[in-house]
Amino acid sequence: MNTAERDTNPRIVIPQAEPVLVETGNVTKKVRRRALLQNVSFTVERGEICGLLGPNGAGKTTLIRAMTGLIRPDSGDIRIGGRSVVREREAAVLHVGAIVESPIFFPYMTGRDNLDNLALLHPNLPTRKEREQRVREVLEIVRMDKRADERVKTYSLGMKQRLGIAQALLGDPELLILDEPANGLDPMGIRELRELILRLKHELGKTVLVSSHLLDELQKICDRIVVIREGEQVFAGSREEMIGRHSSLEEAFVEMMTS
Amino acid sequence: MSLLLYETENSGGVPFGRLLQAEWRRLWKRRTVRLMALAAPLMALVSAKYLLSQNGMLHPGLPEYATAGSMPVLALAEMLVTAFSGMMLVLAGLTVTEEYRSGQLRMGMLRAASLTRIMSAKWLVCLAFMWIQLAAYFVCSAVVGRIWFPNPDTYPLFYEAGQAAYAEGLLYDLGYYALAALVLAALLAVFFWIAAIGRSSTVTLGLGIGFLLLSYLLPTVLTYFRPLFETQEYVRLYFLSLLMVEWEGLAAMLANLHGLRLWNLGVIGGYGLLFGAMTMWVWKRRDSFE
Ligand SMILES: Nc1ncnc2c1ncn2[C@@H]1O[C@H](COP(=O)(O)OP(=O)(O)O)[C@@H](O)[C@H]1O
Ligand SMILES: [Mg+2]
Repeated sequence: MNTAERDTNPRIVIPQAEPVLVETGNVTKKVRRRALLQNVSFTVERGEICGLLGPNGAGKTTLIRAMTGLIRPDSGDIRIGGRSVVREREAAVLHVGAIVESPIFFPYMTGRDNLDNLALLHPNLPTRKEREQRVREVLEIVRMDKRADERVKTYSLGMKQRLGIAQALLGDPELLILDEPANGLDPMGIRELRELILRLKHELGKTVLVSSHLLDELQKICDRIVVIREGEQVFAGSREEMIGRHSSLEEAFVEMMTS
Repeated sequence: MSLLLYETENSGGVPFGRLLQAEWRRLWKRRTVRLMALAAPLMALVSAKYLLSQNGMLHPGLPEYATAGSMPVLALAEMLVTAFSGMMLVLAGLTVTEEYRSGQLRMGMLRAASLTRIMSAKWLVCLAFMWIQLAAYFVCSAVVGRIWFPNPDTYPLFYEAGQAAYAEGLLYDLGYYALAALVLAALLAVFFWIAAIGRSSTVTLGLGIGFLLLSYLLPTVLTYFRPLFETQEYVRLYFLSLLMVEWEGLAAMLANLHGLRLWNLGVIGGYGLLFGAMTMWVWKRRDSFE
């Protein structure tokens, strides 16, 4: 009847012990009757690295947009920490840090200034001192402290990706969503990125959802894999489940993509 | 219950003040904006040079003859339609079109919850910048006026609004600048709408200049049909153009010529509301669709 009462239920704080952090149920998004996403349903548990795998144009970015509340699914729900991104976006994405599509910063500002500016938008960083402190911390985590005072337009793609991860870490979120962070990186860069993501998991206890169109990038680090093709989910489960009766992950993936 | 509502409003939402702060600081990181901030004294000097040469051709008894008291108003009339409009168009192109189209706003959108809020903050911040410019221009032109222009005991105001001594004249100038501040707000709303639909900052610049040209051409065409209208009808139609309100309409408002004070206020408010609403509609749609 009144909104305050209706909202009471989902507001119950879920204890940290709850293993499931992300839960998407039958997410569907259509644009002019073409389905960009169709019945995508998977879960991610706390502390896991989950790979979102699919060829270019499969709908990975669209799904990430929906997960961060940038678009609204036509049907289905996405819950993060028990809160619906669709119905209570602000509360749900409060504990999410993300790179969507690609990390685009204000090129005329330094890396540090970009982060300072974004930090202003975090309610949990109320004072200037706290913001500056947090910016220093995240720059250190991604090893960008040396180049932080140069303008972003002088950065390489790899540096922008790392700054993007730093930006996602600002609010100390439980969940990090990284959209194709390896795109355009050289093999060394990809390796550093992989190590960084593993550090985020092991040292900082983050849950990470990372998308890619290359199986190679994901298979070394992911505990769980979700595969989508043309907006449809063709697989969701652990690495081991995906390999199943195939001799390798790659073989399993190739079969999914061709069948 | 009230506690619940309180939590609803604060469950992760960024306070609007923080959004303003972020936009304001980012505005000042742009080189273009820093250069623009230096414009006031320069513009005052350029105007002074022009008005001094004009004075050489004018009778000192005319209101157009620039004195220490009338200098701020005379110096603003031309600059409003040119430099100030130009600056606002550049601000709208850079902070709205470019930032939105390039994806630079995405990281802010993840945090600030909606484009509607971001754009409202941008409008306020750009307006604050322009108002500071206006204030700086007032000070600069008043100083330049005092140094280089004659300061007679009294001088005539526009549209036979009476004679003014220096102090009264400054009050009149303040009134004029206050009205100018209102027109700037309305024109900025127009430019923000253009910037919202423009696909690139170049397109925004072009459309904005187009709007200004049209606002100049239509009343100019109207002058050819002057005999067809009653005076009151004619001036009202004429001042439907925001540009003409900027150019000639503010002095007419202060003299309340043909009841224009209320009419022009209505025109300014009308533009502000209409374009403000259209802009909000664009962003609301993008908030919920994309
Ligand atoms: N706003 C949109 N309107 C229409 N089609 C879109 C829109 N955004 C993306 N698409 C289409 O949706 C499909 C999935 O895109 P995307 O999610 O970016 O794929 P991925 O990130 O996996 O490469 C693509 O075919 C793309 O052309
Ligand atoms: Mg993508």
